[in-house]
Amino acid sequence: MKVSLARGWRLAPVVLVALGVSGCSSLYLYDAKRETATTAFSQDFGKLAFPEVADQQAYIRQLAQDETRQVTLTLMASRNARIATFVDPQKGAAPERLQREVEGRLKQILGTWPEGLEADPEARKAFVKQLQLMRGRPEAMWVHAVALSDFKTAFEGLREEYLKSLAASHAAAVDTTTGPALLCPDVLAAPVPALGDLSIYASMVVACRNLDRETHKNPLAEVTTKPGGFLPDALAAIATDEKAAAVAAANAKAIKADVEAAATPKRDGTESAQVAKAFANLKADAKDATDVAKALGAKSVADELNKWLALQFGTAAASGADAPPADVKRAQTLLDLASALIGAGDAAAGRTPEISAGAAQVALAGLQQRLDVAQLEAQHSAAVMQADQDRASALVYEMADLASAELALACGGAGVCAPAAPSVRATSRPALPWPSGPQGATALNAYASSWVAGRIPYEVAGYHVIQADRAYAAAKAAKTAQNWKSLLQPAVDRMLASAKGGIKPEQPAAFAAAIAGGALAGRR
Amino acid sequence: MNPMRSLACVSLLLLGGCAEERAFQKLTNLTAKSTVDFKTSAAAYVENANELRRTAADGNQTLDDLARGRAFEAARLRQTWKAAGDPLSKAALQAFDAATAFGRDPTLTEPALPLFGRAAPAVTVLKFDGAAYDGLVKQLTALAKPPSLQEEASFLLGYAKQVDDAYNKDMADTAAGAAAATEAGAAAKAATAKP
Repeated sequence: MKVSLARGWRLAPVVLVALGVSGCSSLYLYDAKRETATTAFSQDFGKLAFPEVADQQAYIRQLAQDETRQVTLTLMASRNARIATFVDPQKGAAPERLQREVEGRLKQILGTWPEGLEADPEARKAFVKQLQLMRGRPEAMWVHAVALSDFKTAFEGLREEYLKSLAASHAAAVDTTTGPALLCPDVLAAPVPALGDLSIYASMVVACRNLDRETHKNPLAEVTTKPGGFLPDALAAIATDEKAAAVAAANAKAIKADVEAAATPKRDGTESAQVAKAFANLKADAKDATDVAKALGAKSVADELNKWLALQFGTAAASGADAPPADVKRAQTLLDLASALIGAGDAAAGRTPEISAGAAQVALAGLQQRLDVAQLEAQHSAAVMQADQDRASALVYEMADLASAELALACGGAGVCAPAAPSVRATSRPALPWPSGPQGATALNAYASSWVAGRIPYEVAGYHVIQADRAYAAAKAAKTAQNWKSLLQPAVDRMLASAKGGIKPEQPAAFAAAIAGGALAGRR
Repeated sequence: MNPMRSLACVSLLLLGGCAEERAFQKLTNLTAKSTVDFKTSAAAYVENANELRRTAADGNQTLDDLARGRAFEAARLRQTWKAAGDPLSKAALQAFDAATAFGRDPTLTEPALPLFGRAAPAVTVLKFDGAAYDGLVKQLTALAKPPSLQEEASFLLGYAKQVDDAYNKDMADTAAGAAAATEAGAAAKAATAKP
């Protein structure tokens, strides 16, 4: 700065007085350089983006598709390899090996046979016939019926379905309003249908012969209460999911109400009704700005934000584990930030701090983050529940197909067992060697179908749970990054307002000129 | 400097406060700290995201190996039955083809058979660029830095000069205005004095 010596001496009193100023007030001198620097920072802050988070979200979506395809391919290859071993003439004893495989898998799904069935092959066979009934009705109804131990409902659904299929294939020959007593003779007299209708037909035959409609119990009622099998575990998971989904939905609803209340401005538009109320209640007791920040939830906002940061930027979310503990130092930084926004100047001047627009924005940013996370949690719970329901449904279909295979192997390929009598079973064995003839075709096709309709969807649905966890974590990271900017924006706005404010040189000059002008006028 | 002018300037500067300066610096420092924290978290996020990518690629590769191994075994057996041509092998071939056609999804392409000599799966990893965060922190650090005595003196000197310049301009404008008004008044008086 070029200032002449004479002029410098004239300005000396001003400079000396200014240097000696130590009193604090809200008035300060405007600095053009600071305004330029702060404006540049504010613009750069606004430009800050998070491309990595968006990339990862897109990657997670693609990964889910690739993974599902790869798992399906691998399981199809596994199925074909298993079938190859059952038809290979070099290996021998194929029907027995297939039967062991089918029974082993059934037991794996159920966890345990119902009471008394382990030692009673005939009773087990009757049970398997009931399992076969599960094929061909709407899965949601069936899962619901299983969960409620209400086998009768499931049977009624099956009956309706069968009556419709009969009506379609036999024109008006079947009265869909008739009960099983009238239906059964028709069913038993009907010719064995083509493969596509076989399972429903066989189910109805078994039902007609063995089902006492009034006293029949759900074959899975006992099994589902014993953990350890895939199906009981899946059903237990659904029950847990339902509770979690209900809690998540209620939580999201409550937080949404908070956000809406907080976002509703007062008539003068200066602050939200909720924040103002909270502040009014605590204003009298507030000792300093930090107390006010805590009362307004800044502490919890900071803690929560850090939990989210730790959760999202760690691996815990992907594995479904709990969030790691919050970083206390980082929480403190954010708490300090909120405190600074809540009238630091007032606190320094020994006054009770007044609520500021920045503090309200911090509180709202925190609420928004809570809402976003709660909504994502609700979506995640729903996705996990859907995947678990798919797993249970797939197991039900798999069991029905395995039961068809089991019956074909035990009863000679017709898919229907005659009343239990060794002689009947012996005479119904096909003459052709395995795997030729109806026994082999029915058993192998039912076994192949058990993979396509059950085992593969079951495994894929298991991956869907992991994929839902990943998608949840990626979405939460994106929201957190976005909300991090919202949380800091009030501080940036406050800095910019400060830099643009202050006493500009023209103001004291005009003031002094006005006084001097007045004095001159007085002298004249 | 005119005593009245000095008095006016001093009165205003006495009001000039350090409170706003402190509040500004505190906000700036805290925002810088938060930005550093967020940069650390974002870098960790990218690291974990890349770890997931590598793990997923390995997992898919393992599944693919498994699929190829099983497809290879089934294809080998099928080839054996086809080559043998005896009734049992023919029956095996027929039953195998019928059962494995069951439920096949035409949209799925089964893996080709080669098991060896395949390239490792390509993994596209995320690159984290911390420069944007560093730039913000640098700007904040500069803003939060308290001025030295020399800088403060220089600022105040400059400020005072601006006040002085503005004052002189105001006074010059006022004087010019007054002169113009006097001149206009005289001209008006002269005009009215003329008959």
